[in-house]
Amino acid sequence: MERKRCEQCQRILVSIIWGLTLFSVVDGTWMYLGISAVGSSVTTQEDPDSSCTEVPGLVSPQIEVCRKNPESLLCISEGARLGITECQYQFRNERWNCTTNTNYTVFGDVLRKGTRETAFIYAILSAGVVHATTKSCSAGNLTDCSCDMSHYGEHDVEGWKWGGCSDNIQYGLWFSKTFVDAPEVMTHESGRNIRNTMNLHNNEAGRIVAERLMSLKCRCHGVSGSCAVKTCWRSLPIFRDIGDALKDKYELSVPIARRSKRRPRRKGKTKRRQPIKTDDLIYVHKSPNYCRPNEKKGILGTVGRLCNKTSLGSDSCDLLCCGRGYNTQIVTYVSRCHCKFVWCCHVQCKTCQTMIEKHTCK
Amino acid sequence: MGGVVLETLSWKKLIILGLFLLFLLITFFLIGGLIAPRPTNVVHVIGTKCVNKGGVGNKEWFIPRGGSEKCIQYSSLDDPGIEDDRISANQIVFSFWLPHPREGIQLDFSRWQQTMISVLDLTILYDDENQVEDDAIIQLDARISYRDKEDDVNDWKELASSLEERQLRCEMEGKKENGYAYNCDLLSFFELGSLHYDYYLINIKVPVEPYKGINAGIGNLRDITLVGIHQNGGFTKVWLSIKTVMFPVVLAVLIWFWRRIGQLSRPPNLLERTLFALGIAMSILNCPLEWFTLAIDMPFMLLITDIRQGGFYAMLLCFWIIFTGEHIMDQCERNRLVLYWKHLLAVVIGCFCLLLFELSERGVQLANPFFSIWVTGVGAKLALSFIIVAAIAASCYFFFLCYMIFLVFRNISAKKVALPSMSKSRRSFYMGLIYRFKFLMLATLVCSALTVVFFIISQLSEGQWKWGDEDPSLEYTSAFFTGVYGMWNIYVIGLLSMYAPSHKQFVQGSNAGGDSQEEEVQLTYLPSSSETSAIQSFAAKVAAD
Repeated sequence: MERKRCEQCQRILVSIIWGLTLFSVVDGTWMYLGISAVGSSVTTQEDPDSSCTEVPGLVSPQIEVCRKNPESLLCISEGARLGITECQYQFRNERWNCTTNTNYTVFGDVLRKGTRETAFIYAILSAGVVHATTKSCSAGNLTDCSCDMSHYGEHDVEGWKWGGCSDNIQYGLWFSKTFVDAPEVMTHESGRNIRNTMNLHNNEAGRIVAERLMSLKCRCHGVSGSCAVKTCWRSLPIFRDIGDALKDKYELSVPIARRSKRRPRRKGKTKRRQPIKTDDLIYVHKSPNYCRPNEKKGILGTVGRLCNKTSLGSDSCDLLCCGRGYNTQIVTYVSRCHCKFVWCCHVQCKTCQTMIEKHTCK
Repeated sequence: MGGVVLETLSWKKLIILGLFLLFLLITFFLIGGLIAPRPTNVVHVIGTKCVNKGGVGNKEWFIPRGGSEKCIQYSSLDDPGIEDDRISANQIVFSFWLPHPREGIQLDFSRWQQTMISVLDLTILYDDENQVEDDAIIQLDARISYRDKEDDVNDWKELASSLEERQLRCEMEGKKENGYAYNCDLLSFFELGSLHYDYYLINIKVPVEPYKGINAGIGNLRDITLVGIHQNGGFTKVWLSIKTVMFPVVLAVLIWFWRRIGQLSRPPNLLERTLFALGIAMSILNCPLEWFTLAIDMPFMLLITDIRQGGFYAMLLCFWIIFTGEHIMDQCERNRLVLYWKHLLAVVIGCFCLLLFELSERGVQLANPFFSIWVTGVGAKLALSFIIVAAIAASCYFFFLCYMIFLVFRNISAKKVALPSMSKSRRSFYMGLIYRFKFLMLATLVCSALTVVFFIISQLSEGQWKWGDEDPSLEYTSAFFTGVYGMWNIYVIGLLSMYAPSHKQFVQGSNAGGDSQEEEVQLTYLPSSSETSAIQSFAAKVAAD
């Protein structure tokens, strides 16, 4: 039975890998797994071991993880997908709206520079992998999750019978650290670079935020259900909460001095003494304003973006259109209304037509 | 004829004994804190969403990790495939296979893990047009089955099935925007009194009938997480070892105590009989019945353990009342159980209510593990009234107890005034007597206070999660259980041995007269047929003086 399930996994996996290899690759990253994971269930008989090497942008430790545990690649692509979707939700009203392109560079040239946006992308994708892996462990989809009974001196089955299994998040964190940090650690070893330090710090920040947001839930079950015995556990928040927390961190992200060596240090003299917290996002370069398209830097600009005339926030037409003004269109909008929901998957709706004003940036 | 052992012991021996008992107590704490793992742990399982293609009456089992013929699986309810394939809510089955696979191996439950209690944690996302209604009730069609390792992979045998209703209590704390999650209370799900089999499979359907309004107001339910709380095997091993050691020890002391009493020329008095009963209650609690659960399926074990524990505490409460009552130094003659009817009635009523509550919760769970008295309106009221009556009885009891302790101390201080007028050796003897009585009161207080303090510590250590990898070097919760359990065992052993009639003869000072010497050394028995303690005899003495 186990084998059957595995076969199924492998089939999906192989189809992903084959999907990926259609693009010949030069400069991809593992993040590409997040946008290509639209699992089409083409069945191939290919051996996944050799296919791991064909996934674009994986560095050798990542290929090793893929070889050892092909199922985990599903978690990674799910995690990257979560991260990208959440990034797009969080930045839906900003000038830079977390656009991805369909090729393997995923975020285009945005990642080239160490800006705040880059910091956010690294953090949220790293958190996404933690979330997806932990969830997979809980669902029992990922058989390789560890029980971590090291502190009882006993291992696997006996350890579980003695003291149960530890939190699933421990495995999620470990896995994210091993896989997501791998490219940075590799280049780190060959020669220290400020960007590696920054990426590693932001990856870690994403993981820390994900772990901190776990909520403690408790249940009393003593004599007659009294609170004499209480058991507590940590449960994973929905990913939206992690996205919100990281967006807040993004707003307060810390610029670091380019010359910081081992440990990142704050830029400027005013706050130099204040240490950088492990869950702060850090960046090296100032962000461009993202107003005008700049192909060289991979910026699309805000021309044609929808804006909100009445809002005072970042989605207001003034801010979003960078003062260039906007066009107004009146369109008939057909939408579902007076819906009656039935749990899970059915909605009975009427269709309504409304006239709305649509503003787009010039 | 002698008094009780406590009075004939010298200070030196008493201190040595006290230290020895303290050492034992610390050992008990350390056994729990250092050797045992946490008493319980959780299995955290997110439901696999399977599709039932076989209609409503389909009784087959949906098995996650069982291949596509056993579960046509969707990764989430947002999967566009669900809408494309026109899957309806009544076709969705949340299935859970406990425990997890780990490190490539499918784990299995051990019988050492004893019991499992489970709760459901629902993930409901906010949706402007589909909100969770106030007082919404969720109906779950739940089934549970089991299988052993050796059985055929699809040979799941049904353990229980039930259509259950649970009250949803959900709140939106943060932003009220689509895609944010409600904060919902955990739903109690099932309680298994025995973990006899290797694997458990749970299938939950959330049937929808819009016209009847069933499951209409539950909002945008996306995921169900089942949290199974099981006892840890290691903890059971430590716990059972303690029981197995303590059972014969307490039994031996009890037999010794009863033989001592049998050697007396008089029938045993009330205090001695109560002590004996306390020893029996302790032995019943100590009896390591749990060994049988390793071989036989005993789902009623949870109930029996609760009842045994309740019985012991009830006996302890009765003992305190009688112990204090027998030491009130007034002229009133006691030594009859009938005199304590008011106090004992409070204990009996309180315990009877808790027993009824226990039977209506865990007793019914023997037949239907999904049952909970709290989920129905009438049941919750009934349960609450049981608990309120028990609480009233408990407060009556403590009022009685405090009043009696007050009487004892008032009388003691009144008699103390008369002490200087006595001869030297008699004075020192009586002062020692009072002091030892107080010492025992103190021991009781210390034991109760320690129980409360350790309880609070263990609750705090459980409630506060230590972030990071380091684990606490001491398992406070386990230490609390073994420590408190050991402490009451030591307490009972101490009482049995201290209050056993002594063989020793007291060598009295020359000042006391020949016949008064006889009176003095008898703590619990006076020749003048008023069967009172030595303090009472002392009181009579002072009055005579």
